Amino acid sequence: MEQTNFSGVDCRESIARLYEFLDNELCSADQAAIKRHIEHCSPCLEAFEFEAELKSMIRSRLRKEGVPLELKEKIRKALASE
Amino acid sequence: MADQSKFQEQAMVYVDALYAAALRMTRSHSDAEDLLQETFLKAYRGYGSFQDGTNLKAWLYRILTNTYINIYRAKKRRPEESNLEDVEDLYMYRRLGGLEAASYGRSAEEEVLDSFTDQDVKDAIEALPDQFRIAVLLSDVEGFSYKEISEITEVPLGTVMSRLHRGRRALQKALVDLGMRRRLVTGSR
Repeated sequence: MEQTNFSGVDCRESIARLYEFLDNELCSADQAAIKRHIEHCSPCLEAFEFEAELKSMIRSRLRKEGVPLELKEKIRKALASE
Repeated sequence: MADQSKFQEQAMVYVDALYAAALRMTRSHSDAEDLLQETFLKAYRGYGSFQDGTNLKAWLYRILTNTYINIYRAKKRRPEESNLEDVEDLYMYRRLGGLEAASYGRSAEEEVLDSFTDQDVKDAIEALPDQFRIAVLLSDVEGFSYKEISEITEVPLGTVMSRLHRGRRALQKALVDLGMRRRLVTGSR
């Protein structure tokens, strides 16, 4: 990827902080600086969009199993007899 | 101090999410059931020490994670850090970038992502060593912050970030390998 500097953040830094950005872990100034960078840099924007989609795909594939009713009952009973 | 009689109504809200996490940790239905029951019993017994108004969900996950590590670490003592192959940032993206869109209106990247089934992703995450798997689960699936994960797993923030980072990249590598076996992914950009 070419190194393009927008709003004081270059591509290398924006990719290095990609997950902190997607995880909402940056302070608001850093979050805003990265946001300005990706708004002006389409290669970085594409990479960010891909990683965001991947993250949401993983989340949606792993969330589906509910606890079996019998197990829920077992837990309730075990707690009641404590 | 928390009132034990309110434990059920407050904690059972998280039972499905805790069960899903227990399944991904233990990789087995029967072990997940045992782990979940043990977690609820421990949490109930310790509920008196839980501070009302603090993060109940994180507290329950901390008990789940500790219980899992204590039971299953004892079973199999193997080095964890060393056996994870490290790959570069954007590993998957860089390998999908050269693909032609197969159907009109969707990107080829989206098509590859859509092609992974629930089982594919479960297998890929379950193949990660414990500490990486737990970090990725707590962040990507449960949505905990780095600070919460650091409290749940009792390691410093920097360790959480490094485990998450490496775990996510290893997960990408596993999915790319699967895509290559299915001939959905060919090579590098």
